[in-house]
Amino acid sequence: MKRIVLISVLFYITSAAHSQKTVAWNSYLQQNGLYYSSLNMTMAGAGIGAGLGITFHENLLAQADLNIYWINGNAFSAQFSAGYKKKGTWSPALLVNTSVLWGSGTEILLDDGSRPADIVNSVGLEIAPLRFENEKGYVSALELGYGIGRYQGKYIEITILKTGIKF
Amino acid sequence: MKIKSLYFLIGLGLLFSCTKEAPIIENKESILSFSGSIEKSGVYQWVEQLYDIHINDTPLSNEGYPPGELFPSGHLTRSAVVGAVAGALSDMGYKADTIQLGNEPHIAYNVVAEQKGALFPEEVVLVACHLDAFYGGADDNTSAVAAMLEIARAARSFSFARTIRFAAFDLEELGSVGSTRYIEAGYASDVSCAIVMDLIGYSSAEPDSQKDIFGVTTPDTGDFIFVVGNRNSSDAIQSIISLDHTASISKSVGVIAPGDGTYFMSSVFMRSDHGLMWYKGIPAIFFTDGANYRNPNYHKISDKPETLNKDFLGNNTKLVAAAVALLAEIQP
Repeated sequence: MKRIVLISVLFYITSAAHSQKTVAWNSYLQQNGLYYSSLNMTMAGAGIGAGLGITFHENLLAQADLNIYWINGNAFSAQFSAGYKKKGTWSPALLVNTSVLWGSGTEILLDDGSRPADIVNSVGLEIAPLRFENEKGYVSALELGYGIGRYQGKYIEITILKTGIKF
Repeated sequence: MKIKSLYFLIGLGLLFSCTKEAPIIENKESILSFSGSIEKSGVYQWVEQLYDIHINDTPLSNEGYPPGELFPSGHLTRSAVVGAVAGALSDMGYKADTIQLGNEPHIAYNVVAEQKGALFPEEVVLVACHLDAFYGGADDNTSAVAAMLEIARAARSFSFARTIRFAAFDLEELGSVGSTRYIEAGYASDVSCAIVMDLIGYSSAEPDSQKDIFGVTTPDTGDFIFVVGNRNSSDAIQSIISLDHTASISKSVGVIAPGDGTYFMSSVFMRSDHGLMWYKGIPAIFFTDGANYRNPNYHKISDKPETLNKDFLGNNTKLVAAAVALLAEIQP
């Protein structure tokens, strides 16, 4: 019994030590465009964003970013994404995300004359087919996102280029 | 920790993401009384008369304005309608002025008449439309001129705190020439709010008859009137939509363009005589049926009175009248 406990503790310590090595933080910048269309609010624009990401065991990743868009006034988004990526230099990824949009947009008033809320939330999927990384950082081009949101909204998002540095 | 902070911010944002209710409307009975005095049949009679005048008029020279699919520049008329509108306003008891602005070959003739306000005569509510038209232009823009004339007729029997100025602008189809020259010459410096109408008589009950406007999702069925504003006129837009909702005057959809309304994506909502007003910061409200995003006869010879919905046009005129009464503060 003692031997089993000892082996288990050693295994845990080894695993923990190993996992410490496989957790990696990164920060990134991106150029992106967003189109959010719903019954009561349309937000759109091209813009830039910055975020923080973390990778677990080289396969699992999570990231959070803030973005600003221009074209239909100034709109902003805060997005949290999590998903799976392939190991290796070519490391395409698939993520689910949830985001909050606020700022300027074209409003269609509610029937009673009320203005729609100027913050809309959404959930969606994102794919990063052209993602490449090494031990120092990564680049990703043409990431595509699609989702649904408030007021029966749909959004399309495209990230032209994302570059990240690991630390 | 960073992710927790982000979620905290998101939650905080959603907590404050409530809708903003329309302002409370005072003096609703008087507003609805004025709106109710509009005679729908009178509006349509004006459409038929003005259409005939346009269709029998000689088109302007289109020198310098090459024709295009949406721009049949060789078929623009206005001369005879200028006289007809001025004459109609005079017959109602107004002092109608025809203000000439610009030089040949495209002098703009804007027809203007006022009803002085009882309490704040220096504050002007401008009620405007353009009087030039391609072919007969039943919807574009005879429908709006007819509505303006009927509102002007009805206004003679009521008193308002602010001055109401009726203006029929010339040469809108050549790039809002008449209204631009009017504003640049300083005639609009006393305008506290403007109501501009451009195509208000075409509707369709067919599904998908209303196309989305430049990426902005709109209801699919084209059986409503757009009431469009920007941040300077958002309260008025809310009040008009609220009034229509409670009194069932017409069927309206309120649109508020972001900021001053001049951003690229919402610039399509500036396509009439209020465009420069938005640039200049003058609060302006735009009534339209959606033009080429709904009406298949837009800028075509087929834009005839029989293609209009008489009831829709009459109801929209009543709604515009209610907006005039609201903004000019009709007296009990």
